[in-house]
Amino acid sequence: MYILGQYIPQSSVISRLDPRVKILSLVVLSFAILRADGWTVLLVSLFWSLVLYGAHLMPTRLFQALKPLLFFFVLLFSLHLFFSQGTPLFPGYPWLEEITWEGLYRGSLVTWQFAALVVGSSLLTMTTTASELICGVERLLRPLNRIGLPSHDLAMMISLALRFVPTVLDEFNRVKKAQMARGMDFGRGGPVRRIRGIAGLAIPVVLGALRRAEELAWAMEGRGYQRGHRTYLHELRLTRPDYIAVVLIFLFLTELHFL
Amino acid sequence: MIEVRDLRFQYQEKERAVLDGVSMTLKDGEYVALIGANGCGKTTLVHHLNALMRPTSGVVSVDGLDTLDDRQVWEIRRRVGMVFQNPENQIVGMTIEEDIAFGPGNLGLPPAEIRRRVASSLELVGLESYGRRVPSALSGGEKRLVAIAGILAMEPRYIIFDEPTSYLDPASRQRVLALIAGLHKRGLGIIHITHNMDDILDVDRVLVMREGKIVRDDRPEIVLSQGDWMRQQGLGMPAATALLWRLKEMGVSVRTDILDFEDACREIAAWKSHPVESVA
Repeated sequence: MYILGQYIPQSSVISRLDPRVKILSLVVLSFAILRADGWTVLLVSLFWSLVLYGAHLMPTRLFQALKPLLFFFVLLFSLHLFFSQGTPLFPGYPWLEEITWEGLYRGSLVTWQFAALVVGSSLLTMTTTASELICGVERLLRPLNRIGLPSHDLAMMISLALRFVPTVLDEFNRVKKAQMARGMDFGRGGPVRRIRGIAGLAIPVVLGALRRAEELAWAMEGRGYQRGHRTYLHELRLTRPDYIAVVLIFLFLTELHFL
Repeated sequence: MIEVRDLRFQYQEKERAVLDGVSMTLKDGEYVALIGANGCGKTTLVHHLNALMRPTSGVVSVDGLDTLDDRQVWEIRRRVGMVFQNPENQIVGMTIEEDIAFGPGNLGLPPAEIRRRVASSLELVGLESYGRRVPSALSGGEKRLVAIAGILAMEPRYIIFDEPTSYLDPASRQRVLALIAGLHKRGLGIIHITHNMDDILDVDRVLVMREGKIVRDDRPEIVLSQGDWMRQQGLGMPAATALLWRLKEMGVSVRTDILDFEDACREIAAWKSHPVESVA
């Protein structure tokens, strides 16, 4: 099973890049995607293909991962295709006169933009471990410390939220099974009964999560959390490939600007 | 040395004291068991030993550092490590090595030193190859070992284990107990909270708590073999001792001050030559 955005352990030029460079590149390229029009679409697509090649990711695997979003792509395309004013694509066919050249173009462009954004963010998470990502976010947010926003605490919150996703899911399944063992049938009944069933599941899971959070806070304090200056197992350092990547992206954006 | 003198603690002024005049010591390198029925105040007491909680009155000091002195709190927490009951709730890292690095990172150590401590802690608990794994992929026993490694990386002088073998299968339990014994041999002072008396046969002393007080402080062979008294406290006995007590109640004249399984077998074998007085 291949999951969209799941980290794939491998050694590639892209996976070895500093997470800060990857995050900032994604932000900048996302703007480029949203502003793309006409020929720039082809240029951005070509650039994305080169990045995919550099990341050693097979396009087939990426398409497979995008499959679950196919419905949204079709919906997005159809909405633009059928609800855009302009020159009819099939003149003389009254039942097809809603379909316009402009609708076809806008539908294709918006769907491409959406797909390119999904591919971009998936590329980031497929080539970067969650801890590298958090480390990168923490370093990028460090200037905010000056205005009283603790970057480390923000990164810690993201990290703990991700860390406890499997734990809370486990708890959810345990509570669900415990209730099923006592006769609860989540698949039957009307909407009111189903909502009651969900509340019956959510309350113990939320209470459990709160209890867990309290114990976690004890454990973190016991291990010196918030003592003051802290250091990290891996310190991020920009290397030559990172500088080359920054230059390439800068050149690419300059090229886009002149098109 | 950890020293507790006349410790009183209550959550709110008019409430009943959870700890009521507790005094105890843990000498350097000593291995002490802390037992008592649920709700007697064991966990509250040990939370005072690394300054997670502060006394309402009385004194708690670690190597002369007072837990009420805010400037000493972080040094006290470094010296006194705490392994909580549920390891799932104390693993904070996305990977095992990051979790173990959490404590040394909080101490502000250089990355090279953090890496050294992560490697040596993983080696001590026997999980050398687990550094890059994610916590959710580990078994209950392995999570417990990771939680211990996270504490060891802070290079404490004392470690408190709060029911370290609960919910573990026999093999994992043995592994954790062997690790605790190994740490004791290395000179660490240890407090071991448990409800399983077979886990604490080798301790130096047993402290028994009841209703916020320490009611007994003695050697394990003396405390754990007193069947009637232990039952009154709502506590069990080591399996071998419980068997000998049952035999004695059935009229078999055997010693009941034996804790070890092998010694109990020898005692029963020797009894073959004894006449059975009466069998209930």
